Amino acid sequence: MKTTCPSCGAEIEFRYDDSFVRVCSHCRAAVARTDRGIESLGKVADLVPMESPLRLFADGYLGSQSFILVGMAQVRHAAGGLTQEWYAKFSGSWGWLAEAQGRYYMTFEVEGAQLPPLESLAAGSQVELPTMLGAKRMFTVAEVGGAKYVAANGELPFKLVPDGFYRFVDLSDGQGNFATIDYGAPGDSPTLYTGQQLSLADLHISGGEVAPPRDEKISSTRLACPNCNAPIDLRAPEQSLRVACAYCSHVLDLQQGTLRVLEKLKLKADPRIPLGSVGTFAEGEMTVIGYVQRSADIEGDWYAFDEYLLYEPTIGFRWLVCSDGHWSYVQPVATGAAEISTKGIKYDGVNFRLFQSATLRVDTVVGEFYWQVKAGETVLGEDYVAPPAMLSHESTEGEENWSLSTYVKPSAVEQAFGKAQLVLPPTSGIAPNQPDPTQGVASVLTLSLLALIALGIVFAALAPEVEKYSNTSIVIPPTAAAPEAVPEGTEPPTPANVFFSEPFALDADKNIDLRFNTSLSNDWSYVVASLVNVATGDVVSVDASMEFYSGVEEGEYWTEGNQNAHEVVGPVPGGQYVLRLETQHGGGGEAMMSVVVRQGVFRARYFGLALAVLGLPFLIFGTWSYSVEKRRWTNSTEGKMPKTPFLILIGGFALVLGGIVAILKAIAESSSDS
Amino acid sequence: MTADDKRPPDHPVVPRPKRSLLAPFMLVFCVLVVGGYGALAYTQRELGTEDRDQIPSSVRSSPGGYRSYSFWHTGYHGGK
Repeated sequence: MKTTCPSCGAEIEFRYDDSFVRVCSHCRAAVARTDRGIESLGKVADLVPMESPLRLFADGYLGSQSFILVGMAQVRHAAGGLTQEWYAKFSGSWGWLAEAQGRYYMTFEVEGAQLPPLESLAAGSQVELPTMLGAKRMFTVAEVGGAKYVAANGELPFKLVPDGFYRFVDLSDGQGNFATIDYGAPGDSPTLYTGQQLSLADLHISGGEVAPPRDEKISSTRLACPNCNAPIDLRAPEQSLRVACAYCSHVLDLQQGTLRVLEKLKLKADPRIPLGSVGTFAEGEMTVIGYVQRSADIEGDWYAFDEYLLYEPTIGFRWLVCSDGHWSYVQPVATGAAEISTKGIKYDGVNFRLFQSATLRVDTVVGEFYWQVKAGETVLGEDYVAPPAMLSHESTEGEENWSLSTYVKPSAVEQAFGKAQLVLPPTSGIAPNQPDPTQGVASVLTLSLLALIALGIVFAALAPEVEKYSNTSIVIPPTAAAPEAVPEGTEPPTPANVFFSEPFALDADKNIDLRFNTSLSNDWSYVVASLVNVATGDVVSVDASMEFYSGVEEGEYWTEGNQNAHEVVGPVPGGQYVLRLETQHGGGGEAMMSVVVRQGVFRARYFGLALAVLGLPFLIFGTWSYSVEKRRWTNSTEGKMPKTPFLILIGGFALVLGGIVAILKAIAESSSDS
Repeated sequence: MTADDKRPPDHPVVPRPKRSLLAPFMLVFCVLVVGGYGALAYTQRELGTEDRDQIPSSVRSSPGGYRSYSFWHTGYHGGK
């Protein structure tokens, strides 16, 4: 429908039947069509030049549905930020496409929703709201604020009142769904809009009007400080609201290319990374455009840390934070994405433990900022850690922000800025999100320990321990008399202290356990045991000592030593064997000895040795990990040190002790049986 | 398109802890310890506690055979 502007008489066209307001491109009057005709709602201000990939009458796709951007309004938030709201004409419906700080939110009106009163909502509140598809979802309030329309263009589906103020609540469900409740002016009924946060690629934008000449665009990136006349380079002029002069330390308000002095900072900023430096990070190249020194109130003492604001138009804003010489790369996280769990906060499948809760204060700034930064302003900050990540939550009365920090080594920061000669501060202590240098070692050790225990159980259970020979009546004579002389060429008789068994069978590939038991009393005995292969003459020999003393001293019975001993021989070829024993004992008279030969016995000694060898690194790495965690959590205001490193330490100790005990027991068994 | 591209905006991936460079060395160490124990337990071998020798066939075929006094007390003494 074509008509004339009631304000200037120029021809204007309503291209769409359901558009309500057309902004006259000649006089900037907001022209509304009603059932009573055409009327002017007043003039809107000239558009504030903003860099945007969106254009009036540009086409786009959302899923399979096409749309066209037929109008746009610029909205000035009460906090100072400027956003653009585009009106997307779909077939039979309208969508609202909000554009702010490189983010895009497409929402649609949801009619008939029961909405809570504005007064009941605050940042962080949770509200169940219906979505476009009718299903209800739990949303978290990200911001409660107010805004006014300052400029507009094209056709609009509602009655835009220039400079009209409205109240709003922005919400997110943390899964990409976004909602805005428009409470309008006091007395108005609220309207719900729900949709999704999208990337520019999701919108498939193409075409549109050629952008008008940008005379008022802050094309010059160099302005003069109104206080000291020093040059100020602006690197994100269309996003910035505040600029701090590096020369005179005055904070300046930036509105449409004009700088206005606000305050003088008490503390001169001294960034380690010069403003304008370009660094390469995982997300791409980013420019340092601002620096903030903030302090955290820890039990009454203020601890300073540095924050560098990074910007790249296609990425948005990021932060590089330095605290105690430790660096983190910080990305924004949608409100509602983090959920409270029994272990703290859960985000992206990871549990974060509360580490610190403190008031954060801005001490000094330099550079440019997308919000109205002010020295002395404070927020409540909470940090939750899951090294190398840290989830931070900052809240004020009307807004809450979440961000994800990833630990960056100082060398990686230097590398990110290439050849820039950075003088980075030395690190001190352990950062909240600094990775544990022993990461992964505990799991390797634990799995190995479990494997070793399983092996030990299997070998112990499968050990057959079959008796092959036994004799309980071997006499040990008092002395080992030398044989009498015999004629040459004849064999002397076997001495009395030498015993030969009858042949018995031994299996191949099984160890042989020789157990000796004597009737020693206040005496010692020594035995050399030899297994002789009858067929081949192969001999395997071991020896064992036993001694046993007892008595009564001051009315108390005491014993010392052991009447038993055992020795284990490795596998021998299978066949018939004879056991030869050559014995001695120290006392007079005869002593009795029994011997048992068994095969396939479980060797606890080696199991204990392996346990001890594994226990040693458990102890070393457990101590190391415990030390790291203790130093990390010393700086915590809220959280308690996790138990895992401590348990590893205890486990290491227990293993080493257990292994040593097992070895000592095995050695004691072999030297003197009980 | 990577998995990261499909995530909603402002949903950065939480970096997972990287294994320490020591972990592979510890893995080798643990494999040696557990494997060594397994091999020792499976083969039932002993770590050098016995003396091994052979009675010559001339001795075995002589009077007394392996009971030969001269073998045990001149040529071979057995034990420690």
